[in-house]
Amino acid sequence: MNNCLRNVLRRLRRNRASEKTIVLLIIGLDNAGKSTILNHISGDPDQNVLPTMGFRMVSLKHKSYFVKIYDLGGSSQIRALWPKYYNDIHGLIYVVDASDISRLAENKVVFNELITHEHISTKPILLLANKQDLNGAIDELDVVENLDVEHAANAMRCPTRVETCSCIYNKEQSKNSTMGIKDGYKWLLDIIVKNYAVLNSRVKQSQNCQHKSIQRAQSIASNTPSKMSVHSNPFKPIKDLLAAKKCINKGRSIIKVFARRNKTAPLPIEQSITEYETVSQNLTSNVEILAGEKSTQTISMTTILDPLNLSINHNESYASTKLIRPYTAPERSQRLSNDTTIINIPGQVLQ
Amino acid sequence: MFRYFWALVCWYFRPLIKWFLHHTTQMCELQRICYGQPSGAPRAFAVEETLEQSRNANIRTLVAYLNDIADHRGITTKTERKILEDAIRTVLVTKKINPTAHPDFAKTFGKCVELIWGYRQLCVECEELRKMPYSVDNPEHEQKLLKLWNLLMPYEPLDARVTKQWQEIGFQGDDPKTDFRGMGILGLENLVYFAQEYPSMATHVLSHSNHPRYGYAFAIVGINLTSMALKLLRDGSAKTHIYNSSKTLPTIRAFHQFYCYLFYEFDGFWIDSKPSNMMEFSSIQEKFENSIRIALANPSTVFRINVAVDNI
Repeated sequence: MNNCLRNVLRRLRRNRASEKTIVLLIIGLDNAGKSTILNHISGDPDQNVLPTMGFRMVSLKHKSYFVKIYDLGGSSQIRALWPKYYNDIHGLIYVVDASDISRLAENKVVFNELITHEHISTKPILLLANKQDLNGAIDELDVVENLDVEHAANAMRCPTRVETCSCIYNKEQSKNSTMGIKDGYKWLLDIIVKNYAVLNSRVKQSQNCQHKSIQRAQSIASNTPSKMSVHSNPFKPIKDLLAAKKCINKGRSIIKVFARRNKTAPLPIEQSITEYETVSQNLTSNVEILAGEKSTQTISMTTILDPLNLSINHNESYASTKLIRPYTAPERSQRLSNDTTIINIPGQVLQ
Repeated sequence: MFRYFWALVCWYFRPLIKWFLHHTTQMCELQRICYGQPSGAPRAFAVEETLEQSRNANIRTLVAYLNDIADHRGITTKTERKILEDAIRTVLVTKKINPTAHPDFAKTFGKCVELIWGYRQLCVECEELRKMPYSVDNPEHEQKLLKLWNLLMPYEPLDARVTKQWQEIGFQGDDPKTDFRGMGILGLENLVYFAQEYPSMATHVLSHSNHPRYGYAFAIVGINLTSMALKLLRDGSAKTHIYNSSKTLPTIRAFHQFYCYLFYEFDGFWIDSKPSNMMEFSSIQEKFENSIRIALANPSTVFRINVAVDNI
């Protein structure tokens, strides 16, 4: 009863506080088409796009949420500044120029560096294979393979979806080509909305952590020259270390909560079912790797973990995941060996 | 609402005022402008406005004819004289002005026509250059690109056509061709002109762009400034500068010079605002654009590149 009331109250409070913002980030190498894609998302298909210097921000609305999208420049000089934005965001859009095969290796390095960042892990990622209109553009299967998305997304437990798209189109195919952007964007927002509480608290926490660490750095910097600090100094760094450790621990525990919640709550199951429906409806082929969904038979998001990770972790707290694995699923060792059967694309043949 | 009402009043009373002034001064409005306004932007602006608002059929066809020629880039050094003579003759005939009594009018009015429709033609010309994408197959484009490198980096030969070295002058990747998207050949020509005509300034700016703290990407900023210059040209803000600075028909050179001024000034503006990193580019560019717009709103503005400062 008490719980029920609390739930109702919480829901009311949630409705009242309508000023929720979702922050998204669009990144990718230069000339991938980030700005053009953002133009499409914001409904202003302007084909004349300059190389982005610095960044651009677009504010949109999605249901009761304010959506802020940052579009960062992709040049190698600016790439060093990307991580500054990672802790503020709820989700990520990574754009690949699928027609430029020569830069796939560079893409792989950048993408893996990005996804293994501590502030990115477990946040949802939308991967767009852009420029499908050009000759020689590779499809989503090849992108996934070349960028090693599977492994990375599983290891970092990022719900990931891959879409193909192109921003330049003839009048006849206009619907099909930009469908990928719209579907992917919708998916990304939906998944963020569903996990908003967890994601947002994480964003808040990491922001606070950053503030604290800045303050701490300042306080240390201001303390050290004075004589006072000579006496208090031996303890300070230890405190700092402890605080830092706490921070990291908190981050981890949230990840665990996130995973555990998904395991037992009915919500994620529904979610993944609806996900399949949309997939089968879509004629545009899209790959779904809901973080480690090795085959589409697995219905729930419980197999969010990488098999590799599982074998390490399940001794600790993930023992329960073993039970939820469907009986029809092949042995773990087998599943590891053949990576090629992973992706099941309903619409592929039709296209 | 008020503005609409005011426009209505003007529309009805303008002929009345004009008629009154015509009879008291014995001159038509164009003459009053040409004699009364200082040469350059103020006079050209006034003439432009009068011609646009004219309800005389002859003047209207003249304006349409000149617009058409400018849109097809028909005003060249060869045809210019004939076109100007036609325009002046039309005005003299329709306004019944005696050319022997007013010898200065024909000259000053011709000058204004030259500036106004030269500007219009310049817009068309820049737009055409912008629409032309950079093509690797076009040897002219390739040569221009290599020329840009040689001008900016005279002591460092280029290893290959596609190389990391391009990033030294602020291109994004190994091949600059993709960076000209949006601005096409216009972006490249602007950069080449800047490096060619003002080599000391260009190297000065380039060295600023390599500043460890306030550095930026030279070429990318250059292309973004091309876009800004074009925007100012398109919406007519740049008219003040072009009308004031041009002695003859404004050509693409005038646009290049305008661009050089913007680039040099932006460099100073950027360094002065001490940005913490490149992410502040868009906000600083906006501020810069606003300051330029404010300067251009004054009809006596003319941007001159101060090379003396650079040489110190």
